[in-house]
Amino acid sequence: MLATWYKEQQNNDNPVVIIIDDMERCCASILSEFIHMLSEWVLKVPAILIMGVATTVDAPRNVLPSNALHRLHARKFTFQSLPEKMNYVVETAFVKQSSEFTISHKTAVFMRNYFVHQNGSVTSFIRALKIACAQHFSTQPLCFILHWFLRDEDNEVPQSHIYGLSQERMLKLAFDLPSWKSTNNQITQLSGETLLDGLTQLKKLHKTWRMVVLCLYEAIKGENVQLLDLMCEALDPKGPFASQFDIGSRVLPSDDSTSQKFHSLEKNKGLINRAIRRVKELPANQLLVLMKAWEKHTVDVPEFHSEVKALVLSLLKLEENGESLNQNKVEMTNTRKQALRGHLNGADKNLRVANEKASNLVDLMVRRYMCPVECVALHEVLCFDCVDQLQAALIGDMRRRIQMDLQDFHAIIRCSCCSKRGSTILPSMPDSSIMYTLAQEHGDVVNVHDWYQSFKSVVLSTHMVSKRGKSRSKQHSPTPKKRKTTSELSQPSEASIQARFCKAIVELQVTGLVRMPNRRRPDYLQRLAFGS
Amino acid sequence: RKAKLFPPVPPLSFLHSFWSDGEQTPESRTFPSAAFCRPAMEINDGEEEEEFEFSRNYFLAKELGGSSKKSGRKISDIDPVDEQELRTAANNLEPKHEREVASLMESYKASYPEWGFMLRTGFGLLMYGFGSKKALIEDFASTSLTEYSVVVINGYVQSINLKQVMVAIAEVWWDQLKAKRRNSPSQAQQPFNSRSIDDLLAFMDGQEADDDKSFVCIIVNNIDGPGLREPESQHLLARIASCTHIRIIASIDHVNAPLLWDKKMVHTQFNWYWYHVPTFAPYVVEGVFFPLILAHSSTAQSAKTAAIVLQSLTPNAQSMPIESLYAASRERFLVSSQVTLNSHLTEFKDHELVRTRRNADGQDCVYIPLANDGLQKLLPEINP
Repeated sequence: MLATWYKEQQNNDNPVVIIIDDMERCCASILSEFIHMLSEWVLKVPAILIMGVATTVDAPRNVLPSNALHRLHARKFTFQSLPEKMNYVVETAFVKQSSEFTISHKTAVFMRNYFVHQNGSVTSFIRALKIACAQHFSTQPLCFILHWFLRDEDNEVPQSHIYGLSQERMLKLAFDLPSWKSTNNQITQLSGETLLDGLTQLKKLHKTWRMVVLCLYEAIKGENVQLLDLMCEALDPKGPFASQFDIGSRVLPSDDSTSQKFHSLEKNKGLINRAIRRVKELPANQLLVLMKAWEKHTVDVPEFHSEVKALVLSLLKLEENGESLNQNKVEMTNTRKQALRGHLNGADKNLRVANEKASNLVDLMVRRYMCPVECVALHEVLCFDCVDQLQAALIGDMRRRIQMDLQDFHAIIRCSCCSKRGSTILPSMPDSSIMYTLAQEHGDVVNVHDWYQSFKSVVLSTHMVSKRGKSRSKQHSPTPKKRKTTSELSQPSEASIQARFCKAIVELQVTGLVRMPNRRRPDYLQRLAFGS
Repeated sequence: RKAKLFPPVPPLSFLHSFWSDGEQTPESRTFPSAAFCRPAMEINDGEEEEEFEFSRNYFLAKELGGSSKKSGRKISDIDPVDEQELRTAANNLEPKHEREVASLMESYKASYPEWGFMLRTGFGLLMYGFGSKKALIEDFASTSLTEYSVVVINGYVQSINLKQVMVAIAEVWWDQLKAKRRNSPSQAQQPFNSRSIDDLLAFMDGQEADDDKSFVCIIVNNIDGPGLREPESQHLLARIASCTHIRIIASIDHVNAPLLWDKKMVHTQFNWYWYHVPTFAPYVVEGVFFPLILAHSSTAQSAKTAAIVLQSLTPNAQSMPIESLYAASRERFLVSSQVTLNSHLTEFKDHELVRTRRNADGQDCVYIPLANDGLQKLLPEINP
């Protein structure tokens, strides 16, 4: 049937592609029969079989019989490894020149931990990022400025009315941002021009930060390093590299006295320090490769670009000299060998000079231009920082939250009748909360009768003290006179107390906190949750 | 930095207790999504302390349960009131904190625009928190989702035919497409109820309205409810949710609900965005199918009412095909599955209350080998 279809369609220039998602989940005998069938029909219906393998490369050998394997003309085809994929995603999303949206240090650390400890899948990381974006766009009224950045209209004040916000409102929101207030309290004229200056500075500093991170990453790429880890270090507004950025002033410090401080700080720890050290120690050919990569990344920062270009040229010269020296090595007299040694020593010295220059350059880059975005005024516009909100959306801790809802119901309901309860169980509390709290005093099974009696005494009394493991005050009741009047007025009937008890147990069952009695223990309920 | 312990996960017995009404436990599945596990974000020591608290409480409770003398009191010692009176009282209970619950619901309205935005972005909204969320979600849909078609699935009922639900969704989407196009489609449409599940999914995932931002919104009240707990149901729901033109809002109440899903379902298919929305609204509809603990034990009640069903047949036809017994019992909410009915029947057979025979049609039937008055005498013995 497939052959007839194939002949009829005009597709007979292209082979049919059959994709099997997970080869190891297939029944081996059926798969090998299928391969036999395909191989018999291969002249009429040329087919390419793509099989996904979840374990090791030699899995087909283990799964398929040899006669099926013989009929396959197999080629290995692997995706990028997980770390490589992650690095690619992080590079594209945060470091390369795509959008200005970024995340705070705390958010980056959270997302890294989430990836490492919870899921380890790139899909979940990207999803977390999408949620962060969506939350940023739905909560930050100035997020339209990200679009303004993309349109590259840096010489004009953002036209907020296009996005549904008046100019005055935009200015008010911007100048009320905490980062602006803490860095610019001496500026009195709060106008569109001031805002434009601030946004331009923000964009420029963010761009140079990205450039530095890219260059550092190039330096330690070969060492199995995760870009996300490097980024977390670079984003830290309280880290050793951020302390040189004087948050109180928009002008970056340029004096060299800070470099002493810089070098004395945690020299051996961290990926950034590792990158800096590596640049110092790289051999000539690798240094050249690195400088060529830096040449590409530093295009927008002329100050570095020219230095990097000069380094590249001197390294190229070194390389040429080295090659010509090597060519002449083969036929040499002693005197010439001596001369060669002299040349080689000179070449070594030149390389060391190049290494030194490169290392000074990277020092300068990190010191002057790796300004974490959270140290810059107006960063809230493009930087997402609500970790709690992100965590809540990603991870709903059902078991803990439902129990907390019952225990700390007052934080949600905010009623006046239960406001001063402390650790007391008040009759005004929601019935399920009363029952849940009472159940805490029992072990993993709760005798229904006892539970009912406790519930009843709570409902009928006005005050009761409850402590874990103790039941001394369960029979406590207030003064008899007062009790009589209140009980005469509002004492619930036995039927209603029993009905409330039953309903509360139904609610605890719906939430999966208790299980109904079974035939073995008909008078006991089993607790399935034991507090948060 | 000290090593982080993997967050404590309750023992496997919890997996079985999830399906606690005697139904078969599911076959083993892939490890549940991490949404179930406590987060391991130990940013400060306080959080680490909390994590250990969880496992510590579990072991303390087990210890307390084992060591203390078990009270020998029975449910009957409570002296439960007559069932009718109990049910009447239950129906007439005054809700507590009515005003506060109403103002809590009102406060959630401020979040409706954000919920709508997340839904349009492609996330599935998962509402959790103590209290019935049915009214809240339906209020959100009727105020903020008026330009979209909405289909509601009530997961708290005992059984749901998802194929029929899919047919309904496909028809709704088809109507929506027709309304946008304002002309009849080029190809004749096969009726939806004769199409296969894969066909229906392909239709809902189709490319007909690429540039259009329209979709059908599915509301699943209690996606963790008894009618949807089977793995096949969850997988099908996940496939529906992953269709391009479908968005999903669901509520969960059971603490073990996240065990229903694996990673792919959580992150790719449903794409859950968790919203904590406790309402403290009473679980009225959700609790309808749960027996009241003081209204006689469920076994005895089933025995009594099953016997009454048999009794109501004509004297000549006092045998009943097992299928009809099952249908009748389900209608009266006495059993939720064939397994439960079979276990009751086995018990009756052990007590020689019923016997089986084949009728003229070859069907297996059950009958009570007693006269009516014998039955009347027997009933009080079943219900002490």
